[in-house]
Amino acid sequence: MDNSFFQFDSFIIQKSVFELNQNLEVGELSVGFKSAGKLDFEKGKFNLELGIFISDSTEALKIEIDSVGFFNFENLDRDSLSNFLFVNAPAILFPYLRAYISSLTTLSGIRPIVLPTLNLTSLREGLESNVEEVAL
Amino acid sequence: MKEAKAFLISNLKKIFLKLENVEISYEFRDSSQTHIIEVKPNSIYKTCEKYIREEIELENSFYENFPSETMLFITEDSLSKIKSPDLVLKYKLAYNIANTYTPILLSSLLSKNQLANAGENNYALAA
Repeated sequence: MDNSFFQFDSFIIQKSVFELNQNLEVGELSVGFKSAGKLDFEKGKFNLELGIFISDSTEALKIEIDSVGFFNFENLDRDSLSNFLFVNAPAILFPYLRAYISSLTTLSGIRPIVLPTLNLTSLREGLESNVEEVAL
Repeated sequence: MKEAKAFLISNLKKIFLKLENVEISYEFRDSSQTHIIEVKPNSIYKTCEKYIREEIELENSFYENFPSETMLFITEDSLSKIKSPDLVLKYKLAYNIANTYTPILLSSLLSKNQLANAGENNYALAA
């Protein structure tokens, strides 16, 4: 039997927005997510689009990041693939975004925003219905 | 439609930060041209006065600004469900405003004399 694998290839930041109003009165920040994906089952390719929104209640500080993670897989049937696509892939990509946001805020001269490690399994449902099968 | 989306997302973030233990998802459904907002858990959606006030306020200002658009609030046991969320708000992060700006003050690092000398060696500053 051939070995199966699910592999993270690379990622890119597609959109990066950082807006800071000097009248900043931040106490608490909301962290929002959006997720979608493109799957080519025949070629064994999956592109995960993960977006993160961070802002305070007045939007004096606003960060919007859109990223794409590129994954490859082989010898996986659709059933066993679903966990990799909807649970593992966001969990693999998230630390890169976390590091990006941390660097972005540090280099912008404000206190670094270090997102905690988050359990992204709740994204599963939304992501599942946001994946379209295309030729990649 | 884009403006209405941005308006809603901005206001939903505000509501999210005002409430405790709430999860808010937003989707614009093309097929019905409806902005759907799901608020969890049930208890907040149905009984939290603070939330209900915010919802009414948002509805009023939304229809005032976008009279031709439709919005729908739902919760866990509603018949309509969010399928492909454009935004899921679930996490909050405490961020301390104190010392927000990195305190780099040239005068505190270099004495006046050093600054004068530095002017003669611009290459060193550039490096």
